[in-house]
Amino acid sequence: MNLKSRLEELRRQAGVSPGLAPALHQGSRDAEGSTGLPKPDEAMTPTQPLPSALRSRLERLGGRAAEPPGPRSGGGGPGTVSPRRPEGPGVASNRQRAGGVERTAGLARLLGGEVVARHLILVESLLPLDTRHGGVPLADSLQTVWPLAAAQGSIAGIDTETTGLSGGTGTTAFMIGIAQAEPEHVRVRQWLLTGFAGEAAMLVEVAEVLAGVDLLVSYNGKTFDLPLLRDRRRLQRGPALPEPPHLDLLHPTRRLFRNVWPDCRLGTAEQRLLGLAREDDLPGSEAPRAWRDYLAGAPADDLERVLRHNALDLLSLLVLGPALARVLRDPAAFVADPLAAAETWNRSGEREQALSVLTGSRDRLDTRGELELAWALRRAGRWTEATAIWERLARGGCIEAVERLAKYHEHVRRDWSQALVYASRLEEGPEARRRRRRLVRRLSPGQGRLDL
Amino acid sequence: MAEVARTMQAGTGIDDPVGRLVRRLQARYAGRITGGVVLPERPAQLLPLPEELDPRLAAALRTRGVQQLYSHQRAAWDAVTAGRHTVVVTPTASGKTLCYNLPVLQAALADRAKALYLFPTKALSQDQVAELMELNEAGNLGIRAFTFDGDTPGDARRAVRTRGDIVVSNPDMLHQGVLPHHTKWAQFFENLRFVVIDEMHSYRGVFGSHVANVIRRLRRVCHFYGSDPVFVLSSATIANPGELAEGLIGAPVTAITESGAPAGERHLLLWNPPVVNADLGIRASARSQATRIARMAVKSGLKTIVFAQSRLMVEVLTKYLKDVFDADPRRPARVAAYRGGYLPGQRRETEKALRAGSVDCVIATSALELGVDIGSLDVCVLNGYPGTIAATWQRLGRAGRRLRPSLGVLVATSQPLDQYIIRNPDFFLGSSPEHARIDPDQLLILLDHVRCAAFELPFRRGDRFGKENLEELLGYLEEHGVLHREDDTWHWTEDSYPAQSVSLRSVAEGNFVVVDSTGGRKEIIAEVDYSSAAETIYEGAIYMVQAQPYQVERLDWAGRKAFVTRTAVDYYTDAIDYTRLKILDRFENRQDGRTETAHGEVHLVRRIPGYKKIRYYSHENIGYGNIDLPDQEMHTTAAWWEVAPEVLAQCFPNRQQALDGFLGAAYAMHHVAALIAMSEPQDIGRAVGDGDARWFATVGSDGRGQMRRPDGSEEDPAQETRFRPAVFLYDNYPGGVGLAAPLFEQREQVIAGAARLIRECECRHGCPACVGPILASDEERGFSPKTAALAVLAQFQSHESEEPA
Repeated sequence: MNLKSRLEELRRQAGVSPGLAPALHQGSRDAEGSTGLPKPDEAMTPTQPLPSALRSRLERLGGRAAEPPGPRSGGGGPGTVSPRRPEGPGVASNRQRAGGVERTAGLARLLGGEVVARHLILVESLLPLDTRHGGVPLADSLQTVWPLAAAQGSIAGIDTETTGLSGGTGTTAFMIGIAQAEPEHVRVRQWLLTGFAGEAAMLVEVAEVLAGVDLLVSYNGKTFDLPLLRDRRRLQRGPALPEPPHLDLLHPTRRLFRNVWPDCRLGTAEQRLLGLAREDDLPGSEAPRAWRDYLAGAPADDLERVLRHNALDLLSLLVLGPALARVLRDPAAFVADPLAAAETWNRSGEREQALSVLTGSRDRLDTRGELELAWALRRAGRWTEATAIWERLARGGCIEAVERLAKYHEHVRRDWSQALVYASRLEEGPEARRRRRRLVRRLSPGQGRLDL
Repeated sequence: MAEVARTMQAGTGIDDPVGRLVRRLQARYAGRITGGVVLPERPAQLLPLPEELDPRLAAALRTRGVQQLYSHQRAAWDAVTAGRHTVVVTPTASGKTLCYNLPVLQAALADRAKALYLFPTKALSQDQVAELMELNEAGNLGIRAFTFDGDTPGDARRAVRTRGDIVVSNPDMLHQGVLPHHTKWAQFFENLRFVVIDEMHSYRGVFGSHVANVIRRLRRVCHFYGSDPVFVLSSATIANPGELAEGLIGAPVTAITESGAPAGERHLLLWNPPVVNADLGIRASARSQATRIARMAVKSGLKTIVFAQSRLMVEVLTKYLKDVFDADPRRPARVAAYRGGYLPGQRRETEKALRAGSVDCVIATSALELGVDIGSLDVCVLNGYPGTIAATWQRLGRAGRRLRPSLGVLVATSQPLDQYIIRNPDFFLGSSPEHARIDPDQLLILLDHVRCAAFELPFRRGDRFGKENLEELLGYLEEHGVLHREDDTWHWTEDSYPAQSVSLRSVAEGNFVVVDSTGGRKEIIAEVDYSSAAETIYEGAIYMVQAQPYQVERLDWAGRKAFVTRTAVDYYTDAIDYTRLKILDRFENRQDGRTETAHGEVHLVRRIPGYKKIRYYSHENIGYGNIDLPDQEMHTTAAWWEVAPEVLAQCFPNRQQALDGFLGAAYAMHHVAALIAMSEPQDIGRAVGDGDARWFATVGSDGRGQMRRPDGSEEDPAQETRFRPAVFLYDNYPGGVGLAAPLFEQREQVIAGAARLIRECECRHGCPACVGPILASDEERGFSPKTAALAVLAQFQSHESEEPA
């Protein structure tokens, strides 16, 4: 028996779940294939016709599929032979091999790019700064991202489209986009592979660009895009990629809006902060299929949409940083978490900004927010306002506020009996015991051994 | 065990407490002791430390009291440092870890060379790191050893990858967590000099076939980074260590099989609980016997370990022994339990107490079987046969460290395997009959790993991976859109992570999960192979997990899920199995005109029409249920035995009795075959029927054989035109995993073993320990299933002296 037919049969007998292709595609989001592979060119002729013995074997197995090994009530058959397989992707790739160069050139023309290396297209565009991106002009990309990052100089957004999201060395970036804010315009460069052979050249070009960047901006790029590019470079045995300072906007977005928005995907941030609603956008999750289909010989329409999707992502990255900086200055106006904003300012050493953000959102503070406000007030020397907050919280049973008050009365007011009143409400523990002993000693010298 | 001196007498050490205990047991329970042996004391074979050994390492060894090496340690050093792949086969507690630790540490000190240690279990990895660290600290060597497994926290992983000199892990983690991310491990692979594979004998059958492929992938990734590590393997005693090692790593391996470690005199007794019901073949429980022996040992002042097969049994035995020895709560406990599921801290404490000698008796599962250091014990009691001879010796090795006499007692349960072992001391005490087999080129397993390997690094034309035609496999994956071929290179294009869907413990990915839905919970408690799903998790089935019965409420075949709830019933369920086989191809055979034995390829169709409810202990049939599942079919390999119709006509008064004989013989052969193949009984299937699938035989509700046509209808044996029954033992995985050919090679042992199992069983006419459950009424009809089975086996044996056909 031939190897392929043995495989078909054994896989079916081993219960590889109904339909061979979906089983092999396990873990793939578009495994159902309902959107399907576009019908390959009719004129195409298979260069490797299946041996007739194998074909008949396959057909016989297909016939058996009438009595599936699933329950009689249904539930799917065995290795139903996919009708498209005989003229499937493998065969199409042969055609692609034959006409790879022309096909790449044709795609470059379609996308308005140029072929810069074998199997590598670069699409470059310059967008005037008055171009609207949703509700904001691209000129916004030149505005400050402080306090999110301190960079001066060349800022670049980076976003990749990959063959999958599962990670690991089998995942490839087939498109890398970099957008840079320049004084006159925004420069968008997108490298697109039309075959794996273009990858090394793509990484070389991207490395050159990165070497001149002062701040890299991404959305989840610290976790996904950059490690992926690093891995690909390693697989190509190339030198390490330059690693400029990197601002991953997913993290501040999450901190500010985690409890406010239904999710913190880039699309959500675009809608809420940039007023951008994408029309006819190819979902990012469709990108892997689009590229795979192209490799398999399908028309490039969907790749064009991937390119557009990627460009929109890149523009969003450039204006989203300044937009988040605006949120940080006035979180109340964006219903963002004031505490998260204050903490960001604090980390940048801007305590006054932190205080003003908290004061500006007073009515929206929860207990943690109020404690932070009281702490900011205390640091600013505004003790009366601080203690007022602590006292209110202490009445509500907030132990942290009680502790603050105990410390305040002991160390600032030196009112030991008041301090002891609060100290006695603290949770039992060595520290609380020490504090109470100390206070008792101070209240009645000589009787410090009084056991409390 | 070639040097075994076999005698029933206690050894020379007349005054030692172990000898006294042995004599007392022999005097009082002569009827229960079916065999025994004394292994004489063996002095150490010592050789000097290698001259080239790093002085810091030599100093560390001396600090720990090691002035010289055992001969096998020195042989391992010589082979490994010469760059040869090496397998070391030595008994428990013979210092095997130094065999690999020394060359690894030497290279780490000299060149910061890295090593990967693979252990089959996590617990063992922890212990190994601890041991390495002791040596490291003793010599202040500055070597960093880290464990990398599912429990390693995310933030620690980076440090393990970049800073570990020795990374300790397991095959599953290597398969799913390391190789698919090898770029993150680049530094490690570039400097990888050694791969250590401990407990090699556990990598056999399906698991071993997968692991061999994981190692193919590992070597491929190493090659990418320019390294070619030396493999050092260690194994318990099996018949074919060199062969298994070479199969696993795909390269020639030097085998070191002579241990130079010293051993004290060792007594071993085989113990069969007394029969309490001869008709049904029911014996007293092994539990009661093990408790009794442990009690006597502890009372004699001997440190004792009792091994049980399940966690539950550990708790039961612990309670019984604590009732005796720890009745007074004010005194420190003398009895302790040790098993998986306890917290690591608890286990470490028990280990410490054992080493310090403050505990007198420990009851453990296999968790204590492997490398864990617990110091010296005097007596080891096995409550039930551990399943393989290799594991039995490993556990027995727990007693008798440091040149003191020791005693091991193997107490049999009423399971057929136990009964076989206990009645055949020669089988057990002779040279190891166990061949660990793997089949790394099993097509489905190979395909799975070609996928994983293609994900890790693209394949190029001319690459090799396994013995099948790689290009055809790649073409197959290309046709399914998993790979994309460009310029004679196959690239991964799927949006998936293939290692995730490949379990090293099963063939292909059609597994079922068992979901406990008791009281609205949803917890996965087990996984069942596709091939055994129909006979184990049908609706109504009682499914056992850790001795807790669950009832299957619903089987979602398409979703590959069985929903079960906890239950408390006094019966188990047994699927009625209608399996018919058709012989497709004979690879090899022996025949004499009367009988034929062969192995080859078969096509089998199995229908599970219903199940029986069988009461525990009495084996009474208390009900039936229907099962509505489709036929399963499978191509696999099998060994089979056929007898010509005219011979049967001479031997049996009627065909019905011949049929009963075949079914009984098949039952016994199945269990003996599992033993020889070093596999679980469910890895091998058995069937009785016509080799052309004209008919097959099953055991009916009356306990007698029935002949059925392919459609399941019953037929009178006397009416069948072609009555040429055969016993089939088949490899229970699609495509087989290489179990059938060895059964054919060892056919004499299978038949002779089955005959002994039946002949020496103390039941009268048959019982679950020999020919399978029978009904008491058979006796009255003047028919003995035992006799019939033996008559069939005699025919199977008859042609063995003949020349090959």
